[in-house]
Amino acid sequence: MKQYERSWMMLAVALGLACPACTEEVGDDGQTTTAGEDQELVVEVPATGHAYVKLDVPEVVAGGETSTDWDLALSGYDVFTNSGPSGAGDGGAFGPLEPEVFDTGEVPQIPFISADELGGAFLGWYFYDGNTHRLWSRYHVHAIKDGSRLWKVQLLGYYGEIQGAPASALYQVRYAEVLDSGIGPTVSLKDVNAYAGGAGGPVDAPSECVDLGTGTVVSKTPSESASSSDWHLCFRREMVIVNGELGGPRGVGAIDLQSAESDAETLEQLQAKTPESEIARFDAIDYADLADPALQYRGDRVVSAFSDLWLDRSGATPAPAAGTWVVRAADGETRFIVRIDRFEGATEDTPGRVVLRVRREGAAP
Amino acid sequence: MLVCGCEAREQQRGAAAFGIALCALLGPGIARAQAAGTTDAAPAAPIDVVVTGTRTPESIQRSTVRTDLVTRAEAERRGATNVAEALEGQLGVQVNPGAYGSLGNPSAIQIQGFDRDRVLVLEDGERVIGDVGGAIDLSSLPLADVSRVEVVAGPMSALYGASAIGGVVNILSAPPALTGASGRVRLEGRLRPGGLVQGSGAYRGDRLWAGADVALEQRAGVPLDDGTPALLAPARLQHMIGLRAGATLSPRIKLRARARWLRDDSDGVEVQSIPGLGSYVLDLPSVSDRFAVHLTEEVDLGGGSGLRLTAGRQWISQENRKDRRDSPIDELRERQGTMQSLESIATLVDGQTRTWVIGARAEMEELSQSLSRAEAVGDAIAVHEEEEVPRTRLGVGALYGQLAWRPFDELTIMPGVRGEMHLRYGAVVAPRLALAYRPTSRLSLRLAGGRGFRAPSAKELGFLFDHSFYGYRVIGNPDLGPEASWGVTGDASLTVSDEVSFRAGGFTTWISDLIDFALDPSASSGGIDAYSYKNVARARTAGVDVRATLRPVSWLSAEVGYAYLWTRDDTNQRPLSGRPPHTVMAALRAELPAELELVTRFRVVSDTFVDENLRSPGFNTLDVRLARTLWTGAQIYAGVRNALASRRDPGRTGDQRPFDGRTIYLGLIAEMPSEEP
Repeated sequence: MKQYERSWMMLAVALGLACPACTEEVGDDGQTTTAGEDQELVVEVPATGHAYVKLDVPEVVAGGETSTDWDLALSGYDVFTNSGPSGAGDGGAFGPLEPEVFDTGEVPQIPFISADELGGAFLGWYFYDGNTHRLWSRYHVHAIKDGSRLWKVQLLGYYGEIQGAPASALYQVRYAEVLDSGIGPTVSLKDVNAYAGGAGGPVDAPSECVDLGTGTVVSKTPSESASSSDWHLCFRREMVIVNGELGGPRGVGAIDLQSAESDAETLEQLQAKTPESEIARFDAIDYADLADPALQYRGDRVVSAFSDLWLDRSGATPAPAAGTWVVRAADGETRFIVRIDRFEGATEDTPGRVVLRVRREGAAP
Repeated sequence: MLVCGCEAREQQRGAAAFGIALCALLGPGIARAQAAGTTDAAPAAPIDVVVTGTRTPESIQRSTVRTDLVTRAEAERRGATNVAEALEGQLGVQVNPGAYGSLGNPSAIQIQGFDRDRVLVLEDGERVIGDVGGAIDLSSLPLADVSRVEVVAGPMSALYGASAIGGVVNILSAPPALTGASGRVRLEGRLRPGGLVQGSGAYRGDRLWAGADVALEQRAGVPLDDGTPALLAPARLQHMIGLRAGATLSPRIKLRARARWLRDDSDGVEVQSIPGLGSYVLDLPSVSDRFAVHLTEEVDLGGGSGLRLTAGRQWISQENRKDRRDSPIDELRERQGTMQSLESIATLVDGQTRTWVIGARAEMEELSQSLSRAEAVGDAIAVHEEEEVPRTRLGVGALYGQLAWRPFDELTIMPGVRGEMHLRYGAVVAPRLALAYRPTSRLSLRLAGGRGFRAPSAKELGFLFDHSFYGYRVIGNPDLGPEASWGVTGDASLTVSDEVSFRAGGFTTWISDLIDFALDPSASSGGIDAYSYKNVARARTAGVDVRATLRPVSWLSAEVGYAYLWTRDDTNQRPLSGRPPHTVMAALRAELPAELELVTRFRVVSDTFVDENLRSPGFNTLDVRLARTLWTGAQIYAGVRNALASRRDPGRTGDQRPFDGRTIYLGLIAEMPSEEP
């Protein structure tokens, strides 16, 4: 009987010691997946129109908005995936990851794949706190350009108060015109109504738009704003639309002057900020900041995981930024890792010939 | 109600105890019908008889399926006032309301890594309704009329149908133990401030018995201690009124009825921090009423066979408000539900070695949920009504059977199968095979394997959660199928001597078709992603536990144990969230001079995976209780629960440690006359 006792105790001890090692790992047999053979592709990119790429081969294909036979599209200095407003496929991308990821083929676990979406300079104006479902302003200063006129705009909050209760989609905004002779008076807009019936409301519900030149606030449906020029910024739920390119006919451009700070910003940091504490940031922006020729003012457009992030604009003409992207093919299943090596014959409007390298994720190296 | 072939006419405590013990030891082979309901024939506390594992009464030492038992006396020694506290320190299960903060901290139970509606909670064999997010709040079930709680781990759908994946918790009542008038009262004061009054009165005659139970418990809220009025746990006021009665219509027919009303009032306070605006205080009053009626008829068919017929109905009504201070912008969520059931169970003794259990059950559940929201429209207030869960009916009919076959004394082979037809999604079949081998009187080996399943809830079938302002909605899916699992549980018990015993067990479970959210492109539009419930996920759990019970001297007993749990979400390639892998438990009970009794329980729970970048810290709890007998059947006691004050840090995301900290209590229990010898 004593032998029984000893056996049980030894078994218990062995299990106790062995189990911690197999308890809590995350991921499938480790943290990474390996990649297939490295292949190079040269793509002639037009300044207007698109060059479509199928990554499986890889090769340049005929493509088209309704086709699912392509995975990446290049147009001027834009890169799109076959997803969202860009295409009929179920593609998307995530990045940039470290450039070495392409060489090693070891792709870390990534949290999500982003489909292309409509937007522009204000896409990242807030930080979404998933625990409380609150939007926290990053207090970035945005530059707005309409012809020769320039404004700086700071979004102070997404919430207003109605009958003693907080209400969402009521924007608090401050802005000022920026002249080469100095800064105009700061204008504060309170409770700009972007509710539009709530996200479950009708698609043609109006929301408020602002003419920065006159300070006029008008209510417009999406179709009205898309065809009118009497506004610069339209506020629609959590989106801020710029009246240029796909956003409207006025030719307004905008840019987030502090977008580079977004990655490092934490919720705790943003919660500590207030409209008062961030007025210094607003005041610090002057004409020289907004008139910097390196700034690329853009209206609203289709934005992908590559947008702005794939370019290094520090030189005379843009060059590819260091980084690796994970691209989900139009089939929604296959994934590739992509790195842009160089541009050949880049001009102001086009990178010319784009040399990119492709590996299939998950295949044997 | 009868147990074994023994006539349950024992009116004297000693004779009754002997009868029950004898019946239990004889085992299922000659057991008379005793479904997993009450132990009506148990005039004395049947502390070693369990019924849940096989729906037949067996001694716990010789039960074919491993069953853990917590009697009311043991629960009180643990300082418990409700079922959740009674099971908190039990090895192999986790009862930690801190793990369910998003649901309002209900005291849900985890068994074999499964929780919420993957664990079945029964009262006298009848499924309890009134869940919160699938979780039955065991802290809302007072001990006033509870005789004992049985816990069976592993898939039990072959006997109990849906939700019995992780296991079954059966909360059992009993008729009055003594002939004539009897009563019991428990008074207790607590810090965290609160108080408890529990009382029972009963009369037992030759052919009739009746009893009434009342309970009233009040607990203050747990402050968040962040300088705001916010509460980590709400203030609660719980009421319970219960009536029980039984009659012997003839030597072969007995009736039993039970009615119970439970009300749970809670008052929470939440402080919302709104970017750019500051803080807003919301009062969160909620009221939950549950009323249950349960009728049972037992017919002695002779020769050890019997028939048991039951009918039950439950009503739940829940109201949860969000009252914003200084504002008319409020919310009211209302939930209504009913369940009625009919069940018949025949236990047929077939010779000396075989006993059949054959049952049929019909059940109909209805649930609806609505949200009423006051909204500002300009300067006016408009009330917006929304049906979150339209009235949903879930009907099911079931047939089940089980054979207890003892080809020889040492071996019991128990195959069983249950077939259910659900109105929503069709048929489900759940088989099970249990084996028990007792080569000697001191060694017992048990193995059980079978299928478990969980039916989709009314919420998953019909819910609409419109969070489209943030870009998504969650929509119920009427085409869901059941989740299904296979599980194997085994254990070995070795009684070295009357003073020393060991038990070791293990289990593994595979579950597929888990219901989870998934993007539904066909329902997404206008930039709003629609998520729907789908049968998409797979998971596995496995674990072992070992424990030793020692009684080195007559006045001292000790128990020590360790449980290990491994879980894997195979779909997302990670552990299941909020399942502590390691638990150590040690308990000591000492009978000291001057009629003092000291009970201590120490528990170590390891840190827990919550999310890829988030772990909840481990914690230790120590409960101490000192009681002194005043006279036979009466004792005064004092104690402290969670003496080490392990407590959640409210500022730490994902912290699932207990929220209520240290609780000191002082109380009195008196029985008139005493049930003790």
